[in-house]
Amino acid sequence: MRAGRGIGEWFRVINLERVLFLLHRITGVYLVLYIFPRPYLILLYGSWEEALKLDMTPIGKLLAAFFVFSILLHGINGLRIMLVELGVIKGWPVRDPIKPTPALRASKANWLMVVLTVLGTIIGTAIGTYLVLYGAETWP
Amino acid sequence: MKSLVVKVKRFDGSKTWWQEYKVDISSEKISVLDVLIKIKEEQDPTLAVRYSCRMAICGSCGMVINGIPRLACQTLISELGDSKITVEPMWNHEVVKDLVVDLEPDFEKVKAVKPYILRDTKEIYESDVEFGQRPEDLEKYYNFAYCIQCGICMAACPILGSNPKFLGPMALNAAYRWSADSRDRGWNARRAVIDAEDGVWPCHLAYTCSAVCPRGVDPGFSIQLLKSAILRRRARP
Ligand code: FES
Repeated sequence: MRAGRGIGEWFRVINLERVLFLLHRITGVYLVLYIFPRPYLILLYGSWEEALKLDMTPIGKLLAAFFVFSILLHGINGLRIMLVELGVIKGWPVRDPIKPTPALRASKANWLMVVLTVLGTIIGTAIGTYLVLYGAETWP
Repeated sequence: MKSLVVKVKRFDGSKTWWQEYKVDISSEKISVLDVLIKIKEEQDPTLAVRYSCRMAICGSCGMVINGIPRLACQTLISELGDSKITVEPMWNHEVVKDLVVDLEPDFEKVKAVKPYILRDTKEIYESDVEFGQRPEDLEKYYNFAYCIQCGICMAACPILGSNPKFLGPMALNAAYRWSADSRDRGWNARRAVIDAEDGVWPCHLAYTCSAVCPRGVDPGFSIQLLKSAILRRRARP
């Protein structure tokens, strides 16, 4: 017997970074599910305009608002991950026999990107959701 | 005297169940391992627990305590701040019995990254030159050499939950530790294993491995250091 939840391990939240990891996964899956069926919808409905009408339904608007949230979170957090991977966000673990600090927790640049991810996603989603809900009516 | 309720997730080879034990302790400055040994000695000799050094050195007593992978010998009852304790075997591992898991697959992964200094055999046996090292060279891997291979980081990794083939933080940390050693020349030999589908790339910075490491090793960061080393070398003409 293998201990643990298998793929359900994604949903176990132990540390703050893990929240970002989980949201990154969920939004990644959502982006694939939201974007990839689009060409098939156009084929199904016969034209781009007809398929777009789906986005004007209440459920379509809700899905579009979550799409805005997903693209922002996945994008900005993805940028943070890339900057760490590329060695642009630097750091070094702080050795301490009682309370050692992992490198990225000691890195101001990493925390700045975490704050940017959270703020950018919240503000961007608020603006994006407003445009999704009322954009068609207020667009000049 | 304080009373504890210890809930242990048990497994006998075919079925799994939760078992509760009531334990009286005279001081909270004892470890979870001490409590488990007390249960074993006074209430239930069938409870399987693995341990050896009792001082966070051998890495045998990894388990999940109150929802966090930790070393049982290093976790004091006082720091849990609760009289209810749940103990389960390390996630992402095959359970042998009760709290004992099979660490062999973890060790096989470590072996795959060649966790030793790789040099030309001629250099080692046919020359009298010592492979010296400056203090600043030591700094490059010193922190990552503290790993005791307890497997706690492997239990904490969400990627290993969905992809058991992923090398994981324990092996990848070893790959970094030896590759960053100024005396080593084994980068190319290790790269074939780490710059692969199940090498460094599935890691998406959940960073739980570093958050729970009982030795402050920071394997999550050594994986990122490996990634940037790979990318830097790829970018070279
Ligand atoms: S018994 Fe050795 S690390 Fe816990």
